[in-house]
Amino acid sequence: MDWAKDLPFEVKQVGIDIDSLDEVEWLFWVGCAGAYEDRAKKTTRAVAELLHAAGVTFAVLGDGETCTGDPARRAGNEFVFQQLGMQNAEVLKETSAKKVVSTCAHCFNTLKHEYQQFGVELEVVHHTQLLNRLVREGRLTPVAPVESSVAGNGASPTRTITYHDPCFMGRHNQIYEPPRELLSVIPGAELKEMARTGERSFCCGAGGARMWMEEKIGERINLNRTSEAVATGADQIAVACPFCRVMLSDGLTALQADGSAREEVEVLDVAQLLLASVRRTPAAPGDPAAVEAESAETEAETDPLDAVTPPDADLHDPGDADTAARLSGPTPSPDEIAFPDKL
Amino acid sequence: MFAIIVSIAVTLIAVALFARTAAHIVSVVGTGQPAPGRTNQPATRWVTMLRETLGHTRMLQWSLVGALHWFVFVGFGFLFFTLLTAYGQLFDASFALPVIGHWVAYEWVTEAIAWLMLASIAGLIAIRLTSSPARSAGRYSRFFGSRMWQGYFVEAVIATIGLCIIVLRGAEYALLGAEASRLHFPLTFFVGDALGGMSQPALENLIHLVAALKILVSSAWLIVLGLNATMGVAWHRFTAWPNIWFKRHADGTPTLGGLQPMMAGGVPIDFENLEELDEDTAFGVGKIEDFSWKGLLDFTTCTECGRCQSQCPAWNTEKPLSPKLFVMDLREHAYAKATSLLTDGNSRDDPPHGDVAEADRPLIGDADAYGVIDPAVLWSCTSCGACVQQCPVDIEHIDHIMDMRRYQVLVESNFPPSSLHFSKDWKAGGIRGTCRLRPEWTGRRICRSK
Repeated sequence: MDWAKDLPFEVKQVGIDIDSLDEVEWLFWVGCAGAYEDRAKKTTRAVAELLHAAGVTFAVLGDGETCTGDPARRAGNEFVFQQLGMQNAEVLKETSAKKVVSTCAHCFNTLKHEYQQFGVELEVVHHTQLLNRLVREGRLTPVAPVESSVAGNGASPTRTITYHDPCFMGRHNQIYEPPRELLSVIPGAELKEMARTGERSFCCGAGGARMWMEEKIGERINLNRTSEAVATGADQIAVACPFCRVMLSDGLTALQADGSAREEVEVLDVAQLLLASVRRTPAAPGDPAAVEAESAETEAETDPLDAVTPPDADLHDPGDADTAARLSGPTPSPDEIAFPDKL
Repeated sequence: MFAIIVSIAVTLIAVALFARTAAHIVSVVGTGQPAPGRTNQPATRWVTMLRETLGHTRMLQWSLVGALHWFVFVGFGFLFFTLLTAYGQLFDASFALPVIGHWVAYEWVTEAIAWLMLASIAGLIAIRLTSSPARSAGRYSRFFGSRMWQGYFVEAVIATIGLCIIVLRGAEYALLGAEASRLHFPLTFFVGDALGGMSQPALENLIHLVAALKILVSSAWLIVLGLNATMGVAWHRFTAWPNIWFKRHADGTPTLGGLQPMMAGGVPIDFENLEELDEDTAFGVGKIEDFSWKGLLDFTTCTECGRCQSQCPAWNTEKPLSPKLFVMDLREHAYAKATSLLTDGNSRDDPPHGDVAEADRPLIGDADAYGVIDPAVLWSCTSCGACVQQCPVDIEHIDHIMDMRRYQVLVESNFPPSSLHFSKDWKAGGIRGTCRLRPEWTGRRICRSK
């Protein structure tokens, strides 16, 4: 598991480190983006670190996980979706998964609503919901600003954050408040909403398998949305879905390239923003002494925003954020899916 | 006397036309496929329907328009009593409904609602005028592509009826002369005072005439509905109720979240029953009759209000997809095709689409193929759910788009027109092949082919 390589603790994998998910509280469903896409991997790591810091036990499926099938289904390929769904369902049953946390709004939605069809009933939460619960329970405590890659002004509480609602969390699942509550408890940061927000939020352009399609007609949806986010004057654009993250990061890169966005602005997942402000300690939560002793150095070592992996600036393809850039694929792998005869 | 004959005759014609078209709508909707699960939890469904209609919960997402529409909605329903009164007034100018007609509470409510309805419809007309595509933002008007005459017609009918009620009440007050009490005419006595100079026979004639006008305008509304089965802005008065009652989630949650399984004859298709399926079973929706009856009811119900269009990320970035226009096109096709099929094949001597009869138009095809829905429309959807979230009458746009995509991909092997690698990746199981390679993965982009 590439994403977990440099974490200062071990991430348990079902089938290798543990036999069954009964031994932990949560299955952490990492998702394709969370496992392979450099920007999303930072979210994955941040969530793993936060769960670890809060003393929450979890495990991942590693190779046992495959795409949930959301893009396949929404591109009309119901049989690929069913194939993927059955495969995942088998693993979820074998490992007796019951409670799942996901960082991807699409995985979250599909696992939550579409897997009953395969005989899997799960309690599925989005990472912002779980993290919000942990903050409320006092198991994670955001503290005054620390050095982050943008607002490294020490005590100056001038950083503004805007939040982009992922469609599959907001409208599709009515989750609007947990990410906002998380952002509001981060000290030294002010939440500034875009005009189109909540139920009337504007899509990033990646849903419905549009992530994998070219966008040749009209204005790019991601540029439209990113411009709106930038216009709030926010220093950080908070997202809660890897699809949104790709679209808005690409949009931001394009806007920065043509000078219409400040260079300092960045797109980050809510979990990364939280992690940057949480004192982390491997000790039991609620132990003030341990917290005091550990926090300073831990933060310095494992700052999620710039440690662990090199910057991924080369990922951005300014002005060309379409399929060609997102999805350059050489020859596809051999046909692995058994298509029905009719096809 | 003349007014009596004309009013009654027109009423009879109007009711007959209306009933015939209502039956036609039921038969067209009935041509759809089964839609299982739409009648579960009936008690919850009744509560949901009453909450969404009487409470205008979806409408009030736009507070001003929602509030104005609520008064019109209430007025249009409650003031039916005044229509009954008008029939009596054709015969006897001082007619009032038995029992409730002179009840103070009824009179107060009637007058209050009439004024509020008048004020509200004036507001709605003003909104429609100022935000019409011709006057304001063109494509960015939510009414772009809506049939404006239909909206104005409905609004004019309501305004005229509201005015008739006020004038009738005023004339009734004046007719009572010295017996008149402001207690019984709290909001119209001044109209009566203004008419005070008229003689009693003149007042009686005025009442007969205005009552006849009210009946004729109401009948005209029914006649126009009877002649336009696809006039959702008027028909939603009747179709919105069942459309909300039959929405996917009985508890009123918008039809978002998970997609519905692909159905054949109301049964979900999976790998287990795939072999047993009929040779010509459609995967998804390839022609209008493949939609479920709920889909056809959705199309019938669209009021063309354009809230969906105003929020759609595709439409707002100059793409050809507007959820409203998508639904309107499907509705026109459904009714045109049903008519030509019900009248024994191609009765149209002069097909409107080149040489292609309505029944022969492909459901999905570009302009050259006379397709009903252009592939560029179909593939522009991001499934973001804004349209479904907005729709005041609970149309389930995304389900319809996805069903049409299913047919395109699984039966026609027509993939999105502008995708790199899309078709070959997917036919080759690209999603699975690319996304499951965990440790070896070194690519930088989501699901890149390895």
